[in-house]
Amino acid sequence: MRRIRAVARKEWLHIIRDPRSLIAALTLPVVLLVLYGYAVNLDLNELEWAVCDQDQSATSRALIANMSGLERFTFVGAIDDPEDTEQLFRLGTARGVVVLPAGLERDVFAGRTVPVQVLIDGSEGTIASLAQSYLEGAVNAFGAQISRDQARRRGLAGALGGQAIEARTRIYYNPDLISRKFLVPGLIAIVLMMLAALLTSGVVVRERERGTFELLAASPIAPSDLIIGKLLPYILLGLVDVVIAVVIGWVLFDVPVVGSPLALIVVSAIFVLTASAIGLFFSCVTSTQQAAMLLALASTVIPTMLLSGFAYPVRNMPLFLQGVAQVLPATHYIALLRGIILRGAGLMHMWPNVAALVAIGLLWPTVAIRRFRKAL
Amino acid sequence: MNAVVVDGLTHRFGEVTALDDVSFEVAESEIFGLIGPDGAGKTTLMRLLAGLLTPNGGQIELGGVDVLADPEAAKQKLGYLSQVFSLYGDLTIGENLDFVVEMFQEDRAVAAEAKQRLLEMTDLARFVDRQAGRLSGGMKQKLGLSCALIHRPQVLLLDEPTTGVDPLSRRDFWRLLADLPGQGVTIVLSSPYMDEAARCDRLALIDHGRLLATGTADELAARVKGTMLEVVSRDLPAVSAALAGAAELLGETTFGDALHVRWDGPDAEAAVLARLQAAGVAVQEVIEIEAGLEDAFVELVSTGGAS
Repeated sequence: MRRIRAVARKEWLHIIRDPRSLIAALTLPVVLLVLYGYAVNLDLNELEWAVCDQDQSATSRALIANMSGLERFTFVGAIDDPEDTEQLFRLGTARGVVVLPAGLERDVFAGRTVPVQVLIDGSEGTIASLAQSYLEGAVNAFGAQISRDQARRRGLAGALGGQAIEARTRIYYNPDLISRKFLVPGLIAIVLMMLAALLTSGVVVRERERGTFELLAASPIAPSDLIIGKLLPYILLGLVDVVIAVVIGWVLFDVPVVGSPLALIVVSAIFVLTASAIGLFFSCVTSTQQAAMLLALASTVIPTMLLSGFAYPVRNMPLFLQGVAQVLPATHYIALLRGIILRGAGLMHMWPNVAALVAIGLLWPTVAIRRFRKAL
Repeated sequence: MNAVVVDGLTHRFGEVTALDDVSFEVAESEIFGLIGPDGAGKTTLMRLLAGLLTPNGGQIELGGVDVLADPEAAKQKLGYLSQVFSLYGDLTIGENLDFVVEMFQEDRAVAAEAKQRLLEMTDLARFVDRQAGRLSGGMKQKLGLSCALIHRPQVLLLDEPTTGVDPLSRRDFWRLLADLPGQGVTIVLSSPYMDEAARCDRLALIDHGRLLATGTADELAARVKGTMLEVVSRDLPAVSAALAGAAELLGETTFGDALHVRWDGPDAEAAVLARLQAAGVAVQEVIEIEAGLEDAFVELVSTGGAS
């Protein structure tokens, strides 16, 4: 214990006496979060849409008028032939086209469910899925309204009326589909991962480069004491970064913490420990600080960005990549953060993620200790 | 009892054999010097003794502990001052000393006393709050020595402790070392300097990874064969040329404006003078001198320790 404390104290002195790395550690989360928060904008602010009205009835015109009045919906015009859709998409005039089939009014009044085709420009995946939900939602809402009107006219309770088009998309927690809400927890995880791994990537190899490793290796300290002592101050620093990141998410991006702050700190501590241990592992196996830094960055940031469910849902990935995602600490941390920050979920309800994070959090320091060589 | 026993120590870096079957013993409270040219293997030997490298073969015993079997127990008995400055430049003198105390888990009260004594002895007490990176070379070495001594080791390993240190600091440094054998500390130091070698109780001569000879400075000097002559001349190359090929010539080395000639024959002074005059080389002086450690060093290195 004495040795762990002494190493931790020494590392802490290194941190506070190197203003550059300390400033980087405290300002980088701000810079990165703001940068990413504004740059990675997956919202659809304006949905240009067109219609192909083959019915030309009062009902079809009412639907068009209704949809044109919706917020963010910009009606760009009508086409006579559905074949012209491609032309619109190619020119980028519209992102979606609603095809109202002939006989729509007749079928609606006959009480039949009318299929309304929604054509989407799929070239930008995320935008496309948003456009799809918007258009489907608008059509469905109108269909439901017609059903209610019909039911009322027949003197029946609204609930008994048939649904003109069945709504299949239902969105929880982020009904406005504001992507920031779901991006902010992911951003916090990525920024933390990057910083923690980056900061610790130097701590062993730097001693080798500066020659201080000789003194350390000639002293009777156990590798586990040394690694744990070196990790402790960085976990503290990482937790400060967590607080900074969460406050920025709250103040700048309007994403408050709904759940327990204590739960947030606990899972963050485990995550920061893991990320720091990964950086330290690379510090143990490389011979220059640059190599350690590059490896730590490449092996943490890139998989985390792509595979952790930060922007792309894990369940949509090929099975192999889903497996890879399960080993990434950020996958579980992001799931936990979304649970705690957005939904106010308790850790008990997310125990598989908690268990996985703890397991990975024990694995990496162990690997770092085993790969550490107390020799020149 | 011997404080250090090295037996058959061999170490290779890939294809290069840095140390080849080295064996020696160091008695308790002795100052033992490892001398040899750069690249001889001194630092490798020091690092092996300090447990920083694992040898390819051989045995090391420090204070009765088998270094290879229980390196951490051996490190507890050891003070090590490496050739490169290996203290934390951004930590103060006091913090560096305290860190070492904690690493060796010394009793804090005892260590505090030792720290005070070392700071006074080394004259560093005034600078205790100064960061180690801002110290002069001599002060850095004194701090390094203090850190190596604060846990009261039985064996002190000093790898070229005064290389790159000014003469005044070197004298201070040796003054600090002088007291240690009296306190039961055994010192093994490496040095490229002959004047430092002369201060050691016993020496080991190393070159190309091999131990050429061990003994006191006098014993080593006595191993120089033939008569040592100092030839002073304005034209040393001509002197060399005139002596070249003589059957009696064992070796020659330039020392400043003089040539040291080892001559194996009767009446050496006269014989050399006659040969030079016959060749028409003007000389100021040819006198017999006593062979020094440096001559022994040169001869042993050039003959590979065969003499």
